[in-house]
Amino acid sequence: VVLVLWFVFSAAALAGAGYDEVRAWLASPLAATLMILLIISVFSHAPLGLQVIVEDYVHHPGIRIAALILIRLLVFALAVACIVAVLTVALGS
Amino acid sequence: MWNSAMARAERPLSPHLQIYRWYFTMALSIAHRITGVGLALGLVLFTWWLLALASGPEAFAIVHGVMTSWVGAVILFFYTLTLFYHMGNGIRHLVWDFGYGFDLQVARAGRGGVGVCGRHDRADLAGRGDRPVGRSTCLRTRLSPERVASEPRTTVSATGRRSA
Repeated sequence: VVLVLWFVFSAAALAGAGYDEVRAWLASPLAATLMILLIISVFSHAPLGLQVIVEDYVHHPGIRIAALILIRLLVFALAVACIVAVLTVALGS
Repeated sequence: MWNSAMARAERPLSPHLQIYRWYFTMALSIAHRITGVGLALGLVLFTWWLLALASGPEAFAIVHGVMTSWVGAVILFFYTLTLFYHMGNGIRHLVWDFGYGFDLQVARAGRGGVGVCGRHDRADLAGRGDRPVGRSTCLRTRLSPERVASEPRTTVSATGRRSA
């Protein structure tokens, strides 16, 4: 919750900013750390919620398991992509 | 001996959703799910934004162009809205998990807190009366307030908090 609030207000502050400003913001260790923490918490929360919904509405066992695995993989891939992106910006490579 | 067709045919069905009167708590509950799905889909946009930021000014310019177009602005606006709704309602779920806040007054105040449908304040409860219900002691069951409220328990409410 705290991280989400931090991100929303940061994003609002960056609303009119250009590429260099946003990149400079995310390159600071504090912002990068908080961002990675936010990514971890959000992307671990998302598959749990989606899993509950799939379990409620998808009744065919095979499709259900396939959907759950697919969701896990997709969310995990997105999370890794996000973290790599943040590290790339933060470490300046 | 039960064969599977018989079992399926004679198993009692729970009443369909259309049978129930549409209480605000039901709307809040389903909205929590819908916003959750929307937020999860929006994570794709979030990832795109971060990747573009990492890969260079050209890619970022594309994302920036989309986000600042009016379609993007509408999406971002509703994303923020649903984010706050989902977060507020999530806190409400957390409080419920600890066994508090199941009586109607608190449910109504919480609805005001998550900022939805305040104008239905009286209409949706007309004819039912404001029967106070007791605090539920069951933990971790996600027992929604409308179910608690529909049970014929008439314990005196622990809190007198009102929304307005």
